Amino acid sequence: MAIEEDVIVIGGGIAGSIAALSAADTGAQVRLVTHKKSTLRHASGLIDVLGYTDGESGPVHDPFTSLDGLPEEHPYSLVGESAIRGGLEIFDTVTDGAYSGAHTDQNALVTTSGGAIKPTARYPTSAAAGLVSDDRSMLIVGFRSLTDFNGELVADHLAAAGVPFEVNGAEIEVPGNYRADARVTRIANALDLNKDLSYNGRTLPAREAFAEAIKPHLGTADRVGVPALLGDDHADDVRADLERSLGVAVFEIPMGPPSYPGLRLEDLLFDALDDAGVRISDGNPAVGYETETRRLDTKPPQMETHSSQSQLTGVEERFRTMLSSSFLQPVG
Amino acid sequence: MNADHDAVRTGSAIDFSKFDSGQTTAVAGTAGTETAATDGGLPPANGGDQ
Repeated sequence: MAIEEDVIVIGGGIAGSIAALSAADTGAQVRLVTHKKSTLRHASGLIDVLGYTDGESGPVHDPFTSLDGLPEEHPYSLVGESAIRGGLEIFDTVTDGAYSGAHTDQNALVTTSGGAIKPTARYPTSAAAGLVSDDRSMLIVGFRSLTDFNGELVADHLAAAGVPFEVNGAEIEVPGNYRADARVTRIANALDLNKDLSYNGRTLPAREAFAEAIKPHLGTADRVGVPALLGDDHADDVRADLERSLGVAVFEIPMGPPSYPGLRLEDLLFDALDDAGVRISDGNPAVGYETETRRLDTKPPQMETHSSQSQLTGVEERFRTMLSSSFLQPVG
Repeated sequence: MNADHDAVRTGSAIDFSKFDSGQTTAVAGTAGTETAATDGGLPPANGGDQ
């Protein structure tokens, strides 16, 4: 038996979630179809609007003043500034308190896990103290057993880029006995639950042990950046405890999967979808569709709606048919 | 690598003062929790006089 909704949104990432919330806000009955519920574990958690254009040699400092220079076929030119701002407004509402950047149109500059400088429009509050456009001195700390991130390398790259502050890097051992299996998830869990860890012959709560390990490298730094592994459900508490112990601001630098900033954002978005009454179908990829008009994936704009009765089919072991008068396929 | 990319890589094309410098958050456990935004001395865009 076919499922029938007013609006079916295909894709459970940031764009799909925001589109579903926007549709639900109109009073429509909305279903979000996503192959895998967890898609943001691969995402940095940063929200970019416009970082670079062909006409500007460096990163864009104000995405909205640069919109006019975009080609007319650019998706932003097609949907217009008000639609972009509308999407950001929904995002800001959903992530209130967990994200920063809404106070200005200016892009912020953040560091990547490789030490490159990246413009972004919204950033997790856990990354807010790490803006490269902030002139406070910085220490970047990496953990030797986590080979995807090197604090000294990141610091060197930032210094070479001419950042307006003193920056140093350090590589330290992960407190506890994680040498054989120092996965990001294990460390994040230890910090989240503040588990007891051995450090320098003592047993300390994880957050205190990490602070003790960082302190000898602190020097005159006003802020400390670490890879984004500072907990999951209690991430704010983890960061606050480290800041209390160290006496300086602490920030996270987004990492590859599993990305904790991405996972935390996913939680916020799916909570908002639940609150808005959006139904979610996961596990079944959308594999085809039939419409009385054009196919969804063939022509711009990238977000399309169809007013005729249409049919979407998904498959796992058997086909499931969904009917709707409107499909959205946002691609972010 | 072209000149523009070289400029970005070395930072010579970046005027850091033009970007969001964030909301300076006080260290947990100290007095206050947040000071005003520090974007070139301007007030927050979403608060106060627009």
